[in-house]
Amino acid sequence: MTRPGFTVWLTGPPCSGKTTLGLMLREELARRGVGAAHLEGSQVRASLGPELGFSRQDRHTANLRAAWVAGQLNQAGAACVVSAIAPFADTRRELRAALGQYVEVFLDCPLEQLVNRDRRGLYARALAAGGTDFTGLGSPYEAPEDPEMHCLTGRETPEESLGKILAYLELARLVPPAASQAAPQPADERGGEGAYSAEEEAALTARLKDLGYL
Amino acid sequence: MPNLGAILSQGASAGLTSSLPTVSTVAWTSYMTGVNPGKHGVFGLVERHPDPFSVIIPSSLDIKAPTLWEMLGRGGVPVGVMNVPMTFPPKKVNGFMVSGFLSPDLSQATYPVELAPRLMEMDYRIEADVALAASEPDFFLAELGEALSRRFKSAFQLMREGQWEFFQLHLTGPDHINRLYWDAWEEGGEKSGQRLAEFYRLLDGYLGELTEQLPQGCPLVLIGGFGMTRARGTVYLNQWLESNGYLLFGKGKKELKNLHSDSKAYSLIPGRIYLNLEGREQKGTVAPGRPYEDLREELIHRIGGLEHPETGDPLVAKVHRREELYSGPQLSRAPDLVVEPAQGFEIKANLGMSGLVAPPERKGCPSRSDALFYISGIKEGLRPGPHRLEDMAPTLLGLLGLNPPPSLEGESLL
Repeated sequence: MTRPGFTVWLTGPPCSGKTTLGLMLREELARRGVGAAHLEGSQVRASLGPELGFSRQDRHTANLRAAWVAGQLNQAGAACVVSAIAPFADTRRELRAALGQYVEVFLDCPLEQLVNRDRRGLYARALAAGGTDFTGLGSPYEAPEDPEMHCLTGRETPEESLGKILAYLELARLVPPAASQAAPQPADERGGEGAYSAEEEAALTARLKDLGYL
Repeated sequence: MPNLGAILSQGASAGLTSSLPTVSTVAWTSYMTGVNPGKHGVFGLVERHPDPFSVIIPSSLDIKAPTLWEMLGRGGVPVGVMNVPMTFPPKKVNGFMVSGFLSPDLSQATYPVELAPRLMEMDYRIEADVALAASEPDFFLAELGEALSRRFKSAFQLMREGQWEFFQLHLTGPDHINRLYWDAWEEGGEKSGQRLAEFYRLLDGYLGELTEQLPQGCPLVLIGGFGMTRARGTVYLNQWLESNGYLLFGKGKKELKNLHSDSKAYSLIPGRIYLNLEGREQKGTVAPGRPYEDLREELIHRIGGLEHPETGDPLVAKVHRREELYSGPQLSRAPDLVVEPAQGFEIKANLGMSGLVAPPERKGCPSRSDALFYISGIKEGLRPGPHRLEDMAPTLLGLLGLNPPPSLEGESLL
């Protein structure tokens, strides 16, 4: 069965867990036979926008360039996981419009915890420098109002957040369930488009018979 | 049911005509889309793919028209939807959704997905355990009561916590229990009468609590997707088709997958007849055009006249051509004929039955003509009937200040 390409965009302030989760997600997708690339925000900037700074316009441009790459991958049938702050609601609206199958995941974590878990010292350096360009300090992070998935990374382990994202992707039929990897089901009778697995369908049929409906 | 009595005395109600076939999948899809099956694409409890032949259980993915909650969401109205049939898998809504009847398990049945663990903490159940419905009625009744209690308690909590302007809680228990004990309404059988009364006392208690939980000024709407009536018998249409030479099987197992190419027609539950049409069905041999129309005419005449072999009572109210019932882009997927049973008869499609009619498998069966609408706070002024289930979506959209899209077929009752 050919599944469509899709993009999972992990958005959230610095140190909210985007890269960690992005890499975990890419690995799990590969385990399930879904080819996926991972685009990390700072690496994308280094390759595709070394001239860009951190003004609102430049951040917007950097995100759209990453989206263009993701879109190309999606068109080729591959998934793309993007770990990039994408702090502005307007930008994210454009990302959604530009990418056919766009799954926005908001990594939400209180500022205090972000600062505490900052092993690279990003917040400390930014605070020392006045923090004017730093997202969440001098530069705003506009929290998504309606993401496909909201992960509370201050409370959840990365594995828990990963599980939630995968559950969503399974539900949206973008990735196969893990179980079907271990014990492949025969192609269901709908050419793979059905809501129910063969086992679920058998159980539901039994339920309908028990109720006297069939 | 004193609480229900009090609720009904404080509003206006009207009868509705339900869908045909009168089953929950079709009825509730017509309700939630405001259009007929020719547009929403759900025609029964099961659907068939003609070539290669297979039968599947339809899901929300098969609904081809926008739903009420999608329309409300687009209008900026936050919604909470719990347990409505045909909402699995749950779709993204402006609010939250808990899928209902025919959801495989709770972990897959919520939008957003993080709602599932919360419902598990509340001991929410999608369905009572129905495996022992017929053989262990006391156990089943306890199960139904438990599922009802958990459903209401979870709903009350979500109503208190959630942001919503439209909240729908669907109850399946009355359908299940009415099928089992409908005779007790009419005959008052001691044991089954007690069971029925016990369930409805419990339900009435929660209805009373519901009225207390509702925010000030919030209208309460009650909708019954179809009515129930005393079951008089089960009609096995494939048995009739087979014994009259319309349905033949190849060597091997007697199943629709193994249809012989000389077959003229077969049936799916309830009362849907598909002609073995050339170019559409896997082994289709009935030519389109005149032969197709002649065969439909013949079946309408013969099936329309079926009588109970012992009592002589008519078994069929009417046989409809599909285009007489449905219209829209999904019409080509509709059965060629739809047999509307006489009141009290259920039409099934089991193979290998020994006779056309058998005593009813359950005591109650659906009734198309007495679906119900009620709204609080209005004593009169409902649009004069007839009303139908498709009128509900425009009614509810209007109640929330939204203009129904012109694609809807129903008309507001308000």
